[in-house]
Amino acid sequence: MPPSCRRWRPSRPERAACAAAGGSRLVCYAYPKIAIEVSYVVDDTPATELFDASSGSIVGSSGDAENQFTRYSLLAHLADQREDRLHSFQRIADRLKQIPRSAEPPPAMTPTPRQLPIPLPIFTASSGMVLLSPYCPGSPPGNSHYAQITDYFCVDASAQMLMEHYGWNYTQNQIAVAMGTTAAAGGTTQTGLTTGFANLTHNQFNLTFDWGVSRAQQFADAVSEVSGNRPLFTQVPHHYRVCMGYSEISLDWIPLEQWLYIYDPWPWNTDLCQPGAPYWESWSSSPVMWFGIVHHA
Amino acid sequence: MPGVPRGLTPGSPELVRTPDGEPSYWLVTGHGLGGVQAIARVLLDGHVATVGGSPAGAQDAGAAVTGLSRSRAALARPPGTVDGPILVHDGPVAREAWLHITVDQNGSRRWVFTTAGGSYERPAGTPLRDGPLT
Repeated sequence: MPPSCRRWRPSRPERAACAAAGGSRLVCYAYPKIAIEVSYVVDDTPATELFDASSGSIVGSSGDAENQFTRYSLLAHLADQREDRLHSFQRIADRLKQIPRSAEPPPAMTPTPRQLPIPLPIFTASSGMVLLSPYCPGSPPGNSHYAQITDYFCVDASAQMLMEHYGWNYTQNQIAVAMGTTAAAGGTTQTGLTTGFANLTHNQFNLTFDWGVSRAQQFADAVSEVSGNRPLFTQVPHHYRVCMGYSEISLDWIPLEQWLYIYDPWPWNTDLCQPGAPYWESWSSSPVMWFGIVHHA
Repeated sequence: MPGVPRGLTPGSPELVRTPDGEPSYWLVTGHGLGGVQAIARVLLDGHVATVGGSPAGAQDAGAAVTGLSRSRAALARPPGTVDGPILVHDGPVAREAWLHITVDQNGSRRWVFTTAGGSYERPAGTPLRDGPLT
């Protein structure tokens, strides 16, 4: 044996120059984990090792039921079901082999270039929605849609919805106390809103009001907030709501249609879980006066 | 648009007025299996102000936006009602309620607004208060 040849015991990931490699194949070692099974011979003794197809790490063997990275044989644990399952698998495998494959690939398409007299206008469409996950496109909405539980609780219900997005869960009555909302006052004042919001969130958020240099700027600000996965308050005359999304269609970057997706707490209902339906509001006719923008402090 | 069902049958538009009685906009429903599936608010100039789905089980435009159908709003007539129910928006577009106009024993008229949540009222002719948000 050459001096550089060292023994390689399969349980230790050490270099071994003396193993004779055999074959390899893909195996499922613990569903759904896939590994490459390498066969080799060392000292005339055949052996196999599994290398996880994702990480490349050696897959060990463990009898610990909690171990998630051990080779596991389902078939070894199936008693009288083993033969039936093997036959069923083989039947399906045989049928798959009988499916005819396409004889030839489709011919390649070669477009014929044409010179257009004028450049085509470019339509662009963009949209966004505040979701539960800022990373996963298919996740649910970022907070619930609630009804205001009295006819003058629009701020409290809107604050309840928005704070829920950030994990702050209060009842509308709790919010009303914090914001000084009363029927005698006719609802909630802006001072009550800002003071109550700061107290309820322990000053962890900045609430700023976006009156907008222009309507175009206001809409751009709403797009920026939604794109950052942040819901925002919207004030319309005598009423308060939450904006959860936007949609915009432009022609050569000129906005044609702009919409906001509104969680309106109206109509009021003593059951906050019975709100109206959310709706898309045309920005061109929207009565929005300003947005309430919430960022982490 | 997302959240708005397709392939619906348009219903008859229903006029929404201001509490003073002035026409303001139309509610146009989209009907499918189970009743109203979508609702649009169309301004008098034809501009579509809002479009969206409808709460489950709504059978008419009033129910879709107030939680109460016209017939149920009629059953909720308060004492002294001289007119109503009238579908109005109290404040901005989309803040709809059923309006009953009542006259008390002193001859004073009051506006009573009703939704599925209940009723609130104020002297007829008075707007929502400036400042507070409701």
